[in-house]
Parts: sequence; structure tokens; C-alpha cells
Amino acid sequence: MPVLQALLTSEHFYDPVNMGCLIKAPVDFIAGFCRDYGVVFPDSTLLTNQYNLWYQLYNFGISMGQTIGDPPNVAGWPAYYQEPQYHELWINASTLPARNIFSDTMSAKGFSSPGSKILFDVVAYTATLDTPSDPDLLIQEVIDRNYTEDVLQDVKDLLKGYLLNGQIANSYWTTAWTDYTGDPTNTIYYNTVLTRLQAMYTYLMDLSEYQLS
Amino acid sequence: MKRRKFISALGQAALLPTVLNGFSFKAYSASPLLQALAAASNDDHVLVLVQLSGGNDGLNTLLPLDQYANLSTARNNILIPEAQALKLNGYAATGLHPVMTGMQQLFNNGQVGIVQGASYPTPNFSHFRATDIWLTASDADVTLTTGWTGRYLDYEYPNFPTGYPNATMPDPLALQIGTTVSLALQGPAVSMGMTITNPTNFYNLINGITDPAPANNYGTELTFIREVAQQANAYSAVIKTAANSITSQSSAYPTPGTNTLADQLKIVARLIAGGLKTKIYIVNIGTFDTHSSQVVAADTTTGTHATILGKVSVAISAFMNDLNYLSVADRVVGMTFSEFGRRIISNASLGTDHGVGAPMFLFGNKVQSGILGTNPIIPANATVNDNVAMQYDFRSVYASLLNEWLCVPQGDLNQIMLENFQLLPVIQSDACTVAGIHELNKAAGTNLVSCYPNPFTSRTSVTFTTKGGHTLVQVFNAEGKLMKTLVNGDYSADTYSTDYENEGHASGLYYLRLQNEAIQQVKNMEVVR
Repeated sequence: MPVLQALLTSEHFYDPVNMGCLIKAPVDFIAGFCRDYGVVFPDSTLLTNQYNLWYQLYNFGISMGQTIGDPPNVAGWPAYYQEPQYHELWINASTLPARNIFSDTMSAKGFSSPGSKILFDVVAYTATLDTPSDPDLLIQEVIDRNYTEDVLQDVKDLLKGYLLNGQIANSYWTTAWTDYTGDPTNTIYYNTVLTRLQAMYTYLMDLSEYQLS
Repeated sequence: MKRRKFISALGQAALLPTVLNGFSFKAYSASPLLQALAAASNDDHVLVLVQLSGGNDGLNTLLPLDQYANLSTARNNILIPEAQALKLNGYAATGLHPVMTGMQQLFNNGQVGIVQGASYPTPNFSHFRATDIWLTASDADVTLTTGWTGRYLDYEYPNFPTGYPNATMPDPLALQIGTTVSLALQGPAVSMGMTITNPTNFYNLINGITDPAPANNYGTELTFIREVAQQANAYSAVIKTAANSITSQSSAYPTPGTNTLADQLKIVARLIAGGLKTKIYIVNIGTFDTHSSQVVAADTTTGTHATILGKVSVAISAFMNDLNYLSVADRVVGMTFSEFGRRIISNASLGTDHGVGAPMFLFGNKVQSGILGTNPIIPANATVNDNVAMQYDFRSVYASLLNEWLCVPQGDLNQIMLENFQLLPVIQSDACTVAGIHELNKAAGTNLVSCYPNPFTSRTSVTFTTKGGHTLVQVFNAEGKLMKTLVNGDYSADTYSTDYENEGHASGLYYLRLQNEAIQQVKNMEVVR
């Protein structure tokens, strides 16, 4: 305990130089995704579905290099102790695409077991933001929530391009969003905001920044 | 076994002309035999879609000179002076906006076809919804979650992405430059295309440069991940190789950074000539939503609309010049589209509001040149609600390009377009001559789920291969509604089959979807009753 106390209260621990520079482990990546975006799993009345969908996540952990409950040896996974690369060992040409496939799929069709589905509901999530009708504020809030550091203006412009359909006036998105919130059961309004948000969030999470915590 | 042999024999036959294309084409071009062989290779056809975002004012683009009396009443403040219209050979009653000299030259060379009054029944006036209709090719009252080119690519390469890239298709199926049109490429399971967000991103990729990162520990790790990301892209190596094999391009392009469409098309030309087998490219330019200041009052041939139309014309003519310089012009056909045209009557802010029909431009050495359809009729006392009438459904143009340029047999068009559309003569008749290429593409990659017979009336046998673990096989209709779950459970790795009984559902296209952990594969199945 005194060691931990010394560590957690040290100046070094709070030095901005050390913030946001840890690559998420697969479990952090998957569980963090589900928590950040409020992914809803079937409850225990649908045990088979619940198990199937957990199992999908477990398998994704494997494709990202971390089999829960089965570390390669008693020391655990090399990314936690192997110098000099440490956490960089999580990321390679096979595991990085697996991370992208996971976030892409969850933001679009999700995974299903008949009668149940897990996915990142981009429209519901966006509705929880402070000012979803303003594309600049929407994008800034999503970046603040998901990334540890701000991104270049170029990246924000690009993300906004998805919301504005390549137009330049913010009102294109504002109209689409207020149309939807004014009549949420209208499938055309819903699909209009859905497809644009899916493209925007997918791009956001395919950026390298999303791999850092 | 027999089918396999058949396909591999086809493979060699189909490869032959491609190999000939790969040799120095110019040195041999004098030989009529080799020219004929090269022309006969229809697996190297490329379609370039140019999206004009915002709704282009067709009436100030393609000028109906025989309607000027009424037009000058309807839009006097923005009308292009008749004397300044660019002349089109053989079509004295129709002219082009004076800034489109490049397009005029292409037209008069027989390299441009124009379709008048392209639209669809019950048009929508919202940018986003209308754009989605054009990208998905849906009816006005139907929302589709797949894009028309996505459905085409899924038809052509049904196993994608499992087992891709492969020898038959080593390259991205489609490439999109920019961010606005991803829906067009959406297939039933996954996006069928790769996106290059902007030209800078492209040059970074081929030069191995990553974006600047902050000079701290965060930045160090970010750069590390970005480098892996570049290497991890399945297609970055082939794109680099293709781009780097082209060291010189036409000098007709404007200065980089001054015309976004030209910058995008220059990359497209480079990749086509560099040997990518990519079938579809999508590029775009805004901002055609000219509610105000479309023209400058003192000179209506200038202003926002003139500036962007000029860019479109310069970009397309430089692109065509470059394709010719790179000896690939016969392989490429392009098409412009916009989500709607604009009102006949102009508004008081020197602009025009959202409308209906507008012309589509097709360009390439193999297009059927000329103008399809007639000049729109402008009423004597146009009111604010009068629109340019539809003459052709834009989906007829899509279906015709699929049939005449991408060589999809007429009987298969319903699988992509979902309805029957009138075919129009948009491509010269000798474009599709080699048979068997579709069979080869269909077999590329790894087949995990299929059914036989297909098409079927009441019953078909579904065969699926799982790598073990949870396996799900479902049937969806074309709009994405789940019709039936055929398989749901834990399986050990093997190939299985089960029957699907069509319980009275209508004729049409359905999707058979396999989900096996991270793998998804979707196949077309057709019910014929």
C-alpha cells in the first residue's frame, strides 16, 4: 500500500507528458467500447443469446491477441512485461485490422443471435450529447469523450464532411437532425441521420488515436 | 472437379488479353489483330462516378436554346446570353455554359453522351434524402441500406471480403476519394470499397508519410500505430506499386490545389494506368447548392456556378487527355450525377432553388455520343413550382451502364437494380464481347455459403462452411428485413447443408447471410414464382 500511495500521489503520475500514451489492451478495447457506447446485452432470461454474444466478444479478443482466461504463460501476456516494446506488442498488421473490424461492425450492423443484437446505437448515443444539432459541437464533444488529445482541424473537417454530405453549411446537418428529433418514428429521417453518423463514427474509431487510452 | 477445371481453363483464356495489354501497347498498336484482342478484353472496364454535390442547375449547364423566349421570362436575372452558348455539333438547339469549353471539345470529338431530364417518380427535395436515393437507386418511398455499386460488386465478387485479395482480384474492388458517398459502395454485408479521404492522404500513403503528431509520449505511440496502420492495409502495397509505376502524366491538369476534382481524377488516372483492376472509382465536387449568388448580376456567365462548372469541365477534359496520354482511354467511362436539378424560375437572390430533372453527362471513348432526349419544355408563364420534367429514370442510366459497360447480362440486372428499368443506348455496342469473366470473379475468394438451385421457386439447398464455434445462417429480403433464421448454434469446423423453404414470399432478390464469429458473408438468392 505505501508503494501504491507513493506512486499514485507522485508528481510523475500526473505529468501531462505521460497522459494518453498507453495502447489499449484488447480487453480494454472491447469492454471499453461496450461501456463507452452503452452497448446493451440480452439479460439472463435469454441465456443462450447472452452466451453467444459474449462468446463473439471473447473471439474478438483472440483475434486481437488476448484470449481471456488463457494467457500464454504464468507471467501473463508479454505486452504487460516484455521490454522494450511493452504495450506496442498489441498492435501489428493482423491485430490492428481486427480492432477496426470490431468497431466498424459494432457501429453498423452489430452482432446478432436470433432475437437479440448487440451494437453501438449511433443515433441514441448522439442524442445524449450536449448539442447534437450543431455539427462542430457534436464532433468536438465526441473527440473530447473518445480521445485523450485534441485532433488537427483537418480531421475535424473530414468528420464534418460525413455529416454535411460534402456541403459546407452546418445547416444541412442541423436540418437533418431536427427533422429526425421532431419525428423520430419517420424511417426516412432516421435513416438519413443514421447512415451519416455511422460513417462518421466508423471513421473516428478507425483513426489511430482511438487505440490509445 | 469438372467445374473447377472449367473455371481454371476460363482463367487462362480470360487472362490472355490482359497480358497483351501489359506489354508495351504503343509499340504493337499498329497490328489490327492485337488491337482487336485488346479491345475484346472487357474485364478491364472501369467506371468513374463524378458526384456534383448540392443539386446542379441543369438549365444553366445545358442550355435549351429553342426555349429562350420563355426562359428569359422565367430566369432573366441569371440567364446565360444566348449568343455566348457553346455550340454542340449536330444539336443546333442545345448549347453548353460558356465556361465548359473542355466539355464542348469532348462532345464535338464524339466522347460525350448527354441524358436529358434524369430524375425519378415522386422526387424528393431534401439534399440528404435525394442523395441517398441516387446512391442506393431506391424508389422515392423506400429506404435501402445498400448502394447500387455495392450491390453490383457483391454480385460480381460474391465471396468478398473472405479470401480477398486474391489472384483474380488482387486490388480494391472500388476506390472512393473523399468522404461524401460511402453509401453508394455499401454492400449487403460490408462496404465494397476502400476510401482515400483526400489527395494528401493518397500521397502520404504512396510515400510512406504519416500525419504530424505532437512531440510527446502520446505522439510517439500515435506515430507507431499510424505506421502499422499503413502497413496493415491489405491494399496499400498494390496501390503504391500501381502509383509508382506511372512517372509521368498529362500536363493538361490545372495547378494542384486549385481544382479538387482535377486533383482527384489525376489520382484515378494514375491508378488505372498503373494497372489496378479496380472497377469503380468515385470522386466528388461541391458546392452546387446555389440558392443565392449563382451568378454575378453584371455578367451572368460568371459567379459561383460558372466557377464550379468550369472546374468540372477542366477536370474532365484534363482527365480524358491524360487517359489518352497513358494509353488507357478505351478502358474508362465516366458519369456525372447530382441529387437534383433546380427550379425553372430563378429567385431574387440571383440563385435557384431545389428542383427535379437535370442532364447527366457520360464521357469516354466508348460512350454513345450525342444527346438522348429533348430540350425541356419551358412554360410561357413559369411559376415557382414549375420544374424540369423527368424524361429518363436515372436508374435506367445505371442499368444501361451495368449491362453495356460492366457487361452484366440483362437477366441478372434485377439482382442489382431490384426492378426492371428501360435500357438506353449509352455505350457503343462492341464493348462487351468476352464471356466467362463473371464466372471467374464469382469463384474468387473463399465460398462459405451458397444455395442450389438458385434461382428457385419453393425450395433450395443451402450449403455452409464454418470454422467452428457459433454459426448463424439467415435469410433477409432486399430491404434488409430478416425473413428466416436457418442455422443458429455451435458447430464444429466442417461443411454442412440444410434446406430453405420459401413460405410464400414474393419473387425477387433475397440475401443469404452467414455469420461465423468475425466472418460475415452474404450471397444473393433469387425467388422466381
